[in-house]
Parts: sequence; C-alpha cells; structure tokens
Amino acid sequence: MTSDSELMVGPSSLPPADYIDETRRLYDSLGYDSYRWAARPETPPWTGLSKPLSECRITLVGSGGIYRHGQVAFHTKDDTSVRVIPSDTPSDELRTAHFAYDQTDARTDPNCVFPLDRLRELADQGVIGGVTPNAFAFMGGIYSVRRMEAETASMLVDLCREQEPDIVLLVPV
Amino acid sequence: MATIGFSSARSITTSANPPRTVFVDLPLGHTTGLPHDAAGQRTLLSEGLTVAHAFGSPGSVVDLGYRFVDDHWKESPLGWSRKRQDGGKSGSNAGDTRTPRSDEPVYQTDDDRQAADATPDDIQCLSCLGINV
Repeated sequence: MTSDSELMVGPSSLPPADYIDETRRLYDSLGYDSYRWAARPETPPWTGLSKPLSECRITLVGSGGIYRHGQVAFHTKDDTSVRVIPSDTPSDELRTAHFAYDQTDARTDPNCVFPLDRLRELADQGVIGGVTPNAFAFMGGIYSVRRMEAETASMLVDLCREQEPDIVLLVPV
Repeated sequence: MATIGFSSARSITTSANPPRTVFVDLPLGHTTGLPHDAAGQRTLLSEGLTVAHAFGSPGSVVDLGYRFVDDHWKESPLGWSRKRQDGGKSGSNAGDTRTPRSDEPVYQTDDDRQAADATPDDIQCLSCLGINV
C-alpha cells in the first residue's frame, strides 16, 4: 500500500456498517415492510481443503453486475442471469451494470469487485495455484431469495463444477 | 466445492452464514480493494485467502483488519459515493433515492450496447446464461 492509498491497516473507530439495519430504517421511512434477508442459522455445508493454497485453482464468482464488452448488460428488475467471463479477460474489457452500489470505482478499476488481474498476478507469484479458465458474474440486486437460489445459484453450481476448482472465491457487493 | 467469500457487509453475511468469510471494512463497491491500488488489492486477496484457507470449521466471519481512510462514510453507508468522498455534492439523503427498476439492460456505455447488439445470438447465448437473447 502506498502512502496515498485509501486502504488503512487497523480497526475503524466505528463498528461495521449494518446494512440490515440501514435498509430497515430506509424502508420504514418510506412506509414499506422490512426486507427479509436470507437467514441460515443452521451449520453451513463444509468441504475441507487439503491442498496448500499455493496449489489451489480458483474460480471467481462476483455479484457486482460485471459483464464483458460485447455481452448483454444486466437489467435491474430481478435479473437472475449469469455471465461467463474468461479468466484471461483484460480488465479494460469489463463493465458493470448494477443499481445498489456506487459503481464509479468499479468502473475505474473492476478489480475492486472482480479481481481477475490480481488473481492472475497471485498465480504468477505462486500464492495460488491458478485461476480456472472461466469466471462468472451476476447482478446481486435480486429481490427474491427464492429466485436467486432456484435460478442464479443453481446455474452457478453447475458452471463452477465444470471448472473443477479447488476453491470457489465469492466476491459479493 | 469449497468456497471462500469476501464481505464488506458483515450483518448480511452473518445472516446468510456461509462456510468461510473474511471481512473488509470498506464502503460497498470495494469488496476486494480500492481503485488502482493493486498492492492493496493483492494484500487483501492474499491475506484473505490464506486466513480462510486455514479455517477448520464452517461459519466464521474473520475481520482482516483493514478499513477505509476515514470513518465519515459510516454516517451514511447506503449513500456513499466516490463523488461525495472526493468533496462533491451528490444530492440529498432525504426521500426515496432508490433507482426505479427496469427490465432493459443498463449498459455502461453506448458502445457496449452496440457491441452487444452486434454479437450474434448463438454466440451471445454461450456467455449470457439465463436471459432471453
């Protein structure tokens, strides 16, 4: 990190932003019912990792609405579709289409939300074993948890399996 | 398949309860770092993957210990914008600032739209899954 980096080491003086609370207050102020976020209190599924990280092939999955120049952009009305992004795609061919975050920085540097350049570099440095041929992106602003699971997640599971990764790296926004 | 997730929305992630998550205390839109800060992005990814790779059981969200340059953004986390961060005005916090939803693709540039329109449907279908091309 350079001296003018905006990334600081050390804890913030304030607790993490609570987006469940923030959206509840916003919806209350607008007269809407609170949004029902996905709640999964049961123990999550677990697949162990026996290989060292330096030998692990990684499939990147991002929800920041990334698409490649030439692909159809996402729309904002529960778009459950997925984009296949070849992992050797230069970041200057990546675009964003989303509504729930300020995309200025992601459009300046897609690695903020879809770090393909950085993962390729970490593979070159031997930190990770490599990146699978394809990465995947979707637009995470999908109101229906049910549709997200039944449509988007279902497709992503099959797509990721075809890549035979050691690790699926999830980068939500 | 083993998964590792990054998060900058801790409460949402905790509720969803995935197997392995590392947390970065940054405004939305910077899950893996700040723009043109390649060293910082590599640090976050390298440390995050290393930490999460070592998890022995599911359900943890570990704070990597990185934060944004100042804390003012937390006064209005939903309203953070680069324009406001850099000193510009970006409109009022009051009222309904949500974007109307539309089923029309929202292209970053007109050039993108033209490129997409020029892509043959059979090619488009291979990379844009789950849409009606």
